[in-house]
Amino acid sequence: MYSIIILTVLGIIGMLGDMLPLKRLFLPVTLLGFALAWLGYFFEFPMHTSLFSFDLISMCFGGVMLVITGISVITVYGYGSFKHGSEPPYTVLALMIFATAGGLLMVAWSHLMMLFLAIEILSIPLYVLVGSQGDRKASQEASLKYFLLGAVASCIFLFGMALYYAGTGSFLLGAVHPHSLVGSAGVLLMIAGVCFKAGVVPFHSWVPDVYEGAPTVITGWMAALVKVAAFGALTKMVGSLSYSVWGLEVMGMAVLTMTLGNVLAVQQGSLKRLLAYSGIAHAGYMLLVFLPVTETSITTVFFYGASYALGTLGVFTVIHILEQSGLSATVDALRGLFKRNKTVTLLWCLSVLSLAGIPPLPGFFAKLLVLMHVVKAHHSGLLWVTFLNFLVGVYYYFRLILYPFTGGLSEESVVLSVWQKVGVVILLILTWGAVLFPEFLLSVF
Amino acid sequence: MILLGVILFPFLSAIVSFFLHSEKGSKAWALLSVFIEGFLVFFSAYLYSQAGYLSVEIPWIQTLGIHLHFGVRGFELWMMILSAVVPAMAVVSSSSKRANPGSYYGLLLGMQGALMGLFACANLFLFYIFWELSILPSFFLLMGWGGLRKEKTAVTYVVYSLAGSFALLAGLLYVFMSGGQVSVYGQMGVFILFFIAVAIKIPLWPFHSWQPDTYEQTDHATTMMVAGVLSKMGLLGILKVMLLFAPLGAVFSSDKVIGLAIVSILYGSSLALVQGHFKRVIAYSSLAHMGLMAASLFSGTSEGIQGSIFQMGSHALNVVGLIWIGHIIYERTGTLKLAELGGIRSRSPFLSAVFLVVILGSIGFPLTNGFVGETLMLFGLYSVHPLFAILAGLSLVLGAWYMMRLFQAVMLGKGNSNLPEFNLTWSERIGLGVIMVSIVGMGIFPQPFLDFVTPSSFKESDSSCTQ
Repeated sequence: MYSIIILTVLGIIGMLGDMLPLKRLFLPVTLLGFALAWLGYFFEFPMHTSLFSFDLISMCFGGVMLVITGISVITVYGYGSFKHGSEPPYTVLALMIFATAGGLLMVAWSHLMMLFLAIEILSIPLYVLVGSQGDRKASQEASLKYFLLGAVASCIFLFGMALYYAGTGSFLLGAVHPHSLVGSAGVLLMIAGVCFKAGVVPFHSWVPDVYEGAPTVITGWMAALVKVAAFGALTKMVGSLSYSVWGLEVMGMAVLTMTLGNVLAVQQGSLKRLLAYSGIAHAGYMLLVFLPVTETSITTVFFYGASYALGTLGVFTVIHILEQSGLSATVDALRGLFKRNKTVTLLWCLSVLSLAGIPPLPGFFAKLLVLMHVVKAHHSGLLWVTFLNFLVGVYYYFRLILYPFTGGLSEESVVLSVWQKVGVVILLILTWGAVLFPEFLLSVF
Repeated sequence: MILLGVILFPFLSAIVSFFLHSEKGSKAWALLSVFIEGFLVFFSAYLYSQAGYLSVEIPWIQTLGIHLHFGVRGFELWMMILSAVVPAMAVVSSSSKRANPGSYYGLLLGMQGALMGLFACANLFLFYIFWELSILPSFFLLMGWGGLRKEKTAVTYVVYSLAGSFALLAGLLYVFMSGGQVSVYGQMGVFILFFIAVAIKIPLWPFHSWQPDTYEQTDHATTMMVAGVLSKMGLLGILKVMLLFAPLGAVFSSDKVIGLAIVSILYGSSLALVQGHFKRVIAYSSLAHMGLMAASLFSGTSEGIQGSIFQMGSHALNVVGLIWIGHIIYERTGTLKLAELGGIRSRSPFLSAVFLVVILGSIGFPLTNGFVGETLMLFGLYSVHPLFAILAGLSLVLGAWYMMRLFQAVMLGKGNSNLPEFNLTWSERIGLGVIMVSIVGMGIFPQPFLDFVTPSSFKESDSSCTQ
């Protein structure tokens, strides 16, 4: 509970940020608050009540989410100070903190009503943030689209909850086995509701539009946070539900998701759309981990989520820096990046290679874990489908690696503000840390 | 522990190198680094000769049961010496001005580290990681400092390399899935997958089409690394992985593989005869030489394997010498097209003499390093089938032909009347002198080197190949 209380207080401070004295202290206080929020888990660990359960899963996934938002807060703050004279966007920061509180709740529920509330607490700030560039039409359109589809998904989730209650007479998962048809239908609808958030096919249609419409800093943060939160919630859900109810459906969704995501990503010219489709493909790989749920599933999905979050944050930070230098977020905008800023190119290459799964970057271990899980489950057909998908992924990611080294559209060097530099360096350090000490993340479960 | 130092040191000095900006400073750092690395490698060779086996094992990812496990046997140490010497030559030979010298040398050192790791690793997981890791620096070196057609070449190179490493990964997964005990049919499948990976890397016909362009478009130091060491990765993969995990596949398909290798010998030699570019001649001649080495590895005889390993070293030495001479000519004249060259002997008799010695080594002239390796390899192939040896022996004839044609076009004749002066620098004189002396030295006293590459440890792959 401490962590969520601390985040809520921080969010309120952020809301009042424009009026408060000592504005220079805002960033240190926020980051300190995040650290305290994570330490808060240790004071009450483990805590199980009828509504919440703060266990190892919530602590680890929550920690990753706090790191994601911490880095994003630094870069968003840095963006504010880049535009000389303008204040950091305190409201945006506050909404990001509130959404993170929702994300933490999504992995710390034991009552289904709490899960529903958590999804809403995460989603509503996101709807606002996606539309926070009010002067851009794409941003408004994306916000409306996300809100409408998200509302429908929430309804589906609620409906599933109602059916589950009708079938089992309980709001606790796993307490009762959903033998009845009604209960099973409820389970599937709830999984569908969470899969909407994760961007799984066939609930993916919002992903490319929202990624493209949202401001780029928000896109990267959202892509990372929502995926970790949604898969954390799924991990808690599917572990306590019987495989026969949802196994086949999830397998179908996984195959569709990775194949469609990868195939559609190949032809994209817009960087944000390309990454949106590749994000869909990554959701597909992560779904494979639940087929079936074994003791290594949690480790795999946790490591995959963390490495995906790291890669995505890095990639979107670079895209944001590119946009800041006056280019639009197309694949061609990458041309000549190597000559313009080497550190940014290094971050770009490492992040893209990690997403592509090239050793020894963390994304490689994540994919290896997924492959090993599939191997152990003896789905040989699924193994080869996954393998071919990795191949397609490597193809379009290498196109992104190629462009920074070719002749550029612009020759002027890329300038970063101090806090953006800090963000870039933290991302680089975390990437190398994950290369050298993957054991740190792998051994927690 | 020294092995860990040998592998980590190039990576660490690569990181330092990325922060250097001046031409002189970064070259000095790179020189220092390759010489320290050379010292470390030779010191581990000394330790190896005392102990007979070097290994180090420390846990890395315990959850997956993955250890940083390195261990070297004779032929692996031989390859490590190679990958200490070739980068040193590459750095010493670099004199021209480059954009971003710090990053350039950093990538070169990174590639050296990846190769050291690949040659020293003792488990499949590390083998795959270093295999993949060696692709990245060569790709960036090609992209950042290549010739005019670098983009297309780099894409071809990466698509080929990644296709190879995915085949390797598929094979490794299959081995992993079957828990090390691969069935007979499984071994055939694994053999084919591994073969695709190594055949792209070596390269063998028909997987070679990335190679001539890559040789032509890369900067000379990168070409040295690719031709001298990177191509040997494939041969090492045969020895280290293929024969160990798919021995039955090797038994059933060795004839077919030898057939393919002989096709690449004949194909490469014939095409080398008609090339109009210095580096393309070297590329096609390498295709032929590598084909011969691959064929004799699959002969399964101890002479063939021993000759092949010996030849890996001498081929690296010869090809580095050729590329260096090409670079010296290119720096002075600005071209490597054979039609525009000629008459260089009158300007620099020393260069001409070195060129002749390197060519003799490369065509396997008696008393040079090429003779020892090629003779042993042809012995090995003869014991499998005389026809193989006869066809492969044609490479000597054709090799003499295209190399002499190269010598004639570059060194002899009237040539361009306004040929510039060829004042060789001291580093060039010493480097080329060392190459010349070692070519002859290895030809006259091959025994120490041959002893080095035939330890008892080698018998396991030997016996598994012929069982």
